[in-house]
Amino acid sequence: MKQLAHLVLNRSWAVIILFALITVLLGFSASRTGTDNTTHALYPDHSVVAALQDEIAATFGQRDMLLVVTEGEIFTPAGLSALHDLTLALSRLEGATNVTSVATARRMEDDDGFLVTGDLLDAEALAQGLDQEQADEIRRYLSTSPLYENVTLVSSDGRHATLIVELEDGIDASEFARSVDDTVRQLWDGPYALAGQAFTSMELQSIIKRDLPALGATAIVLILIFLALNFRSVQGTLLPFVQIITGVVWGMGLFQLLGHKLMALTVIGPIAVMAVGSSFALHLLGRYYFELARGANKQQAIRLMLMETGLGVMISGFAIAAAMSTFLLSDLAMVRGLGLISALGVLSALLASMLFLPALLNVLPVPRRVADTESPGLISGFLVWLGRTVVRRRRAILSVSTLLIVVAVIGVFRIVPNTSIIAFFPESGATRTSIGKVEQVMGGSAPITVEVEGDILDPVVLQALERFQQQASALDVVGPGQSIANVLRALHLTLTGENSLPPTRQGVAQELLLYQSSGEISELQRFVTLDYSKALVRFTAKAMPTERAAQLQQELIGLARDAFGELAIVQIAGQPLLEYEIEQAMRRDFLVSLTLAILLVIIIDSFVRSFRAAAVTVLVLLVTIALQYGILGWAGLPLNLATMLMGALAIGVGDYAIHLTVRYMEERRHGLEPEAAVQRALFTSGRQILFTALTLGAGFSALVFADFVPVKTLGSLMLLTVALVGVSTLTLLPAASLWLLRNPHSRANRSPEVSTHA
Amino acid sequence: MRKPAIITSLLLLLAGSALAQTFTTAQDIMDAVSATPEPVTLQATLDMTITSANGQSLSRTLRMWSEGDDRRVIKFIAPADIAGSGFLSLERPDGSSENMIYLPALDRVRRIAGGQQGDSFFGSDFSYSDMTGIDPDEYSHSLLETRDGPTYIIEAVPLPDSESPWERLLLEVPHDTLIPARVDYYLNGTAVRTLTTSDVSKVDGYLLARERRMDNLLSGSHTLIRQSEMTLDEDIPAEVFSERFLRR
Repeated sequence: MKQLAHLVLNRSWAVIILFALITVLLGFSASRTGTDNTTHALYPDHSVVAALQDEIAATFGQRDMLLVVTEGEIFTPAGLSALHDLTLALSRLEGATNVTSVATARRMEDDDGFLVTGDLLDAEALAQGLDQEQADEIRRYLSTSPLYENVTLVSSDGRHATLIVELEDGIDASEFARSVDDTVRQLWDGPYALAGQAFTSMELQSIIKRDLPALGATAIVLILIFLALNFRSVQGTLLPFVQIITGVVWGMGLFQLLGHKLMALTVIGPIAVMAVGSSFALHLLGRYYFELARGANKQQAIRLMLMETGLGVMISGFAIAAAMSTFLLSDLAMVRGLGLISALGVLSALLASMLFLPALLNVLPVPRRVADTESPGLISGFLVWLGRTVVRRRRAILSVSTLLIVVAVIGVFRIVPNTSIIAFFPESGATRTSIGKVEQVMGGSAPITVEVEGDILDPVVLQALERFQQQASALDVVGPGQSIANVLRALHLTLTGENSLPPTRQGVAQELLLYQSSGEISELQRFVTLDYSKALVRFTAKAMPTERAAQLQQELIGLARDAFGELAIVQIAGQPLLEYEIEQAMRRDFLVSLTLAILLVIIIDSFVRSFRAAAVTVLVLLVTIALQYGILGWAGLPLNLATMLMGALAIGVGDYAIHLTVRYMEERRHGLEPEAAVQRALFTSGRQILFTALTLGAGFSALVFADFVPVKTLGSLMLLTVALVGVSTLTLLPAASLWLLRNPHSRANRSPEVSTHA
Repeated sequence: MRKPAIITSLLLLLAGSALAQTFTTAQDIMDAVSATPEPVTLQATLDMTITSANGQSLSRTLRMWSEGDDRRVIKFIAPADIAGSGFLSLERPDGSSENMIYLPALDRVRRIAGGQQGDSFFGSDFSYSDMTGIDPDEYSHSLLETRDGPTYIIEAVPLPDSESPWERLLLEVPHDTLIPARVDYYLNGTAVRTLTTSDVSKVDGYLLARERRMDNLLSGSHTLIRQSEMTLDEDIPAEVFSERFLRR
């Protein structure tokens, strides 16, 4: 620390120029940070369901789909013509591989001995102008053909039409969804709704683009207000601002240089860096102004600031960065991204606090008016009262805390996880309204695919497949299904007049051969492999909580077991199952990152002070975390990708409690009795702790304005967290210190700087 | 009778004896290709393998009897599930064709509408029209290039009244065989299919390509047809080209 102070005081301009240069370079890098808004980016790295989906996509050509529902009088010449034009325009969009709608529907009929397959909406008839009779005939065919029994191309009331647009692999799904949205808006004269993964990606991208600048600006403004209230000077307000901006710019710039992209959840990172960075500055500047008020000259004040408070800030900074970097162990790219950007940002903010801030202070003039943070005033009076109260009521504080922990732990068991992607969007927002409309018409919007491996030509297997399809479709969250059974039933009805599946293996094989000779081969390959060894049943499911998705997985496995027995091997994939996998990965991350973060904080805190002191300090964090999740459980809020981060973030923002412990130990070393040392520590450090809590709260409160629901919920809960850490630090920590840390130096690992100061 | 289709006939691509001189115009080349002798009848076994873009494949074995391009019967031999299924194609005097399929499991003969000639031939990358060949009279030809060999690169553009679904064809015709070794089919300025012929040898005095492969450049699938057990110019009874034979 001495050498650091020496460097900063003797090479101030060099440090400032170096920081400015690096900030400009990394600012350029940060400005190039891209966004990854694909729903695929949300999946765990080693997702079994995603791997199966990829295999199914390769085998059956299954691709991501964008679902469109248009509203109007469909079965009219004008309605059908408009749909035809829309289908044609959508199929011509770059990235569209296939469009399914009433305009691409096929007719399969026995016409005087001819098996006729052709377009239901005949191009020739369209060119000549459809009449109402032809429109009615199309309606009749759609409502009676087994081929479309389980597909809603047009709703039964004739008021809604659906268009399923399949996307090329690897394209920008958001851009594609935007082009679909534009095309439908231009060509369809009426209301419409969109759903599907591409649509969700587009909406997520909009959220990222809206949230990051809006939340960042809000956080900055709120942090500046609290800094101004604390220091009541332009310098005291702007210097921390420069320092936190440096932290954010460096963090984002390095994040980009390492090849990462922003995701919806990553937005928390820069906000956390701002909040944490401001707390570093608060403590350092508080000490600087305190020393100036006590008569020290500028350089002496800077030296003492770095040597005394700097040590605590550095330990705290490393501990926070370590806590954030535990997210790097996650299986979820989004969580890893947050961990990386936060850790880089916090370390950058720490570096700026220890070098850039003191260098700036050294070249800037001393403010004419320096507020003494220990001078009599409202806050000082409150802290004196608090010190006395804590000493007098220490048992009551410990008892109430214990009781709260018990209640909180009970609440923890009431937590229900939910990582459903639809829950990312506001309940009454346009995204969920649009998806809800599509689900209302189509019976679902999330794809579920069931791969059946067996002898598909065997009529017994086909009957089992059809039975499974019917039973699965009857589940409350599963919409209609489609499979080779639908094609075969329609074909058999057309060829024989019997509404059943072909009764023999030869019948199945030969009817499919006939279909190949007159139908679209690609239609078959969507449902069955060329060698008839695998078949696919496609369902659309309603968006659902992951708890329901887990149940659904078991229900589908049970139905498959009942239907197929030993006849076939069945594997299930789909969006709801992927979301359940995200939840499982999230639970794992939650436990691993939280445990590791706590251990790292204890280790890092005890490295300079003592293990016992570190453990007592961490007690505050543990109580906070228990209360956080207890409240989550009692309030019925879900554990999701954002709220699971709350614990580790609490460690990040709450480690400023170490400052109180440091000061308490310092006072004990100066010979004060424990009770007096506690009162003194509260009086001297309490103000910075109070304002740190307020500034952190101000920073995180910006998240409340997020459009991304988990981040919004996290914002509210982080406000609560900051308040809990603040209250615990100012009450429970001194009470616990009086009980468990009466002789902190008995096994202390003294730091030379502190000894020198003492 | 329609002039024999010669460019992409499924069964025979014949060429005359080696020509002594090279050609300088597309018309001369196409005339020479048209003039190559063809057997009157052909009986052959076809092994057809369809391979999808992801590598799945399906093999079928067929026995075929044909008389020119006007009459053709195909019977499936393998796999067992479809053995006995058959396809009959007859050209009517007015130039239209009648296509029928027989399925033993249903014991029924079904007709396939003539307007579906562009449809896939039993799930393969060949279409029905590929099986009957392309009439050179429907195209205008121009010689684009003469490569070493020599091999002629000819562009065939459909005439205004042609029923060809293609925008243009690009043919590679080696001088020594006069059997198009490669045909690229274009739509909207892009090659969408490629036909290649190989294993060219003489059988009973006719120069034949035993192997034909059609690549669908859009879907990534391809179909290989290899012919064997060929009998050329042997009389085929008229009853073979009948519904009754199809059912047998």
